Amino acid sequence: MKNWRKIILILIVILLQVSLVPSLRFFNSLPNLPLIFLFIYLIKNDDYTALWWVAFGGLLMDIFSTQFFGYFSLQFLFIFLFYRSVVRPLLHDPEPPVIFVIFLVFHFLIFILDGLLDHFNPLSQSIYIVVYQSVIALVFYLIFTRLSKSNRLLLKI
Amino acid sequence: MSKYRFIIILIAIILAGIIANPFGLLKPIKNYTYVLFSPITSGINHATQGTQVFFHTLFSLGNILKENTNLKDENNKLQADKIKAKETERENSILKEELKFSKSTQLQLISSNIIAKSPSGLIDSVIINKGSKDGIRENQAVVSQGFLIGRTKSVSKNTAEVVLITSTASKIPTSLQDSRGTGIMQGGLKGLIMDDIQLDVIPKKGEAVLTSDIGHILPSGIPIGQVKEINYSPTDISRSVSIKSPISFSHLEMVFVVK
Repeated sequence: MKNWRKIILILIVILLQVSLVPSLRFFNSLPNLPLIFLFIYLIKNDDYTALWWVAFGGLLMDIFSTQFFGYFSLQFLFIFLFYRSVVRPLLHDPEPPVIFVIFLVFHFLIFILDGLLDHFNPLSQSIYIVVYQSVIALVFYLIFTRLSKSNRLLLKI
Repeated sequence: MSKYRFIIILIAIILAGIIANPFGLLKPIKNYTYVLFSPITSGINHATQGTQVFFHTLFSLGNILKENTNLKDENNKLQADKIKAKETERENSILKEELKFSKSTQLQLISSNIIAKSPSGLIDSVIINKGSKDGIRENQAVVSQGFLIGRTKSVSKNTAEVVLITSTASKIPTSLQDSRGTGIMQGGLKGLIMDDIQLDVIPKKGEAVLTSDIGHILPSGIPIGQVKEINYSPTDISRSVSIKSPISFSHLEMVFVVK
């Protein structure tokens, strides 16, 4: 497992996130690919790679974002620590329906955090945004795990 | 490297960034990152235009049928208006000449390309390839096809960040063209909403919404869109309207900064 491979994958995903992904806007919401990858590695118990996504992915997202610096990296770090210390001891090797619930809970937490930081009431907004992001996250997770089984290269990355 | 050391170094970098950012120390890093990756992001944007249009169409299929019917009606109305407008234009030019009206000041525009878009859904922003060396400053209006799309926020030497009007972080003083009401327009998940319109103002559907120079943030008179819906209940202390912009914000490629 080479670090430069991780860096290239993170770079590709971030560049897609700031170019192609904003066009996948649905009900004013778009999927957060780096966050999805962070989840994938956390669920796969690959904390070292997950940390790379927190560090390099989070900082690159901060550079491309107009939010205050640290907005994404702190968010990713919180998810990393919360998943490791709270979720993983409770749910070891979760099945897809449980993974979907995990995505829902975390996306909802991020949504509330966004609301607090941007001074809007997140509870007054519709829940479909969180559901949309969670569905996309689950689809990516399933595609990724399927590809990993058929192609060992993805696991190496 | 142990995980804990990794986390400590990461937190240190984030904290250093948080402290350095208000002093503008991160601007050169951001600037060089944008310049370095702009050929790739612009290339992806250009190459995937077809895919983007496909997803945009797919997600808005429900509205397209409704819009088509409305457009047909509107087209008929526009045909009639066109004839009237031509007549008014002729009359106007004669009046202007007679009264020696000076030509209204034309806005000076700086053209720029979008090199990256915001990675977040709620904070809608784009990064353009023009910066302070091209005369761009903070809080300048940014337009596309003559309509306001946002305003510049953080400007570095070669690039500038533009907060789009659809962002929850955007607050723009606006006015209604016919009813002369003023208010503040904000973006967000519910679309463009103009709030705080005085109760004695009666907005009309289809009325044009323009920028207002209240607060001297942006020049007045830049078109934003039309009133789509009027939201008011007798218990409200002010009126609010939903605004429809003709701009497709997901497909912006080239924009103009108002000097």
